[in-house]
Amino acid sequence: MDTLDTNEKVQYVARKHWIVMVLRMSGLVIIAALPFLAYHVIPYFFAFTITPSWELVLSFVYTFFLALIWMMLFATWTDYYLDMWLITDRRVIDIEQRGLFSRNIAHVRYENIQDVTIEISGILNTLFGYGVVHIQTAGTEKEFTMKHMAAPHEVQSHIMQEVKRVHTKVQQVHIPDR
Amino acid sequence: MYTADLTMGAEQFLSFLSPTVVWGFFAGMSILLGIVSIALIYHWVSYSYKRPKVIQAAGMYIVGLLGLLGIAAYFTQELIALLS
Repeated sequence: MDTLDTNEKVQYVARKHWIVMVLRMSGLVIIAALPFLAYHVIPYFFAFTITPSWELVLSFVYTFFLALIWMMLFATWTDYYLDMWLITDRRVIDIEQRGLFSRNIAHVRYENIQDVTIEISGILNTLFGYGVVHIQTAGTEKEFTMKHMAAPHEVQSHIMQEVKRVHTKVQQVHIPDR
Repeated sequence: MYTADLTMGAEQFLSFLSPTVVWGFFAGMSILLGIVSIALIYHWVSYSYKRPKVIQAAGMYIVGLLGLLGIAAYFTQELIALLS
């Protein structure tokens, strides 16, 4: 992965909670099922004749429709899977995948991190244990935020551990000789 | 109950189709799906952190897509047989 520096080690990979992906995908699944359901439910309310030739044409078109939905399901998974925070031994790398052809990468070094806060609000968030993680920095970009982060307490803990380690190291280097 | 007869609509619609149009539609859709599939797999291979998961996902995706294209090919042949 070319985002990492030489000898940089990834300690933890943080992603959004899977429920976010499932909710997006469920919309697509419903859209995929609608024509099939319509074909079987509508005859109970309207009597119409569908000739075998019409059925063949509809099946032909529906198969391609399903192939497009299949592709969109995996595009949704790609968007979910490639959105992540890499917590390495040197910094936090925020990788944001926007659709298929757009990707935003930002990073913040532990020396610049001032605070990490988490926010869990809402019924689903509380039940499934996901929320918003904010990193406050001293750099140009003042705040990094990831919404719907899975296990936000763990993410906070990992980052703060690395921040503490780096700050301790810096203090040890700066202690003057007596 | 509302009654409708779509047989006339079907005959009119089928008169616009020809084997060339049907094959063209099949080929066009396959090319479009192929291009986007290559883009998807490229992203997974280039940007993902864990390879095993990527291989699993790519495998599932390709099997599903080929299955659906296989079914589409079957309906394409049946439609062409009907039109001939």
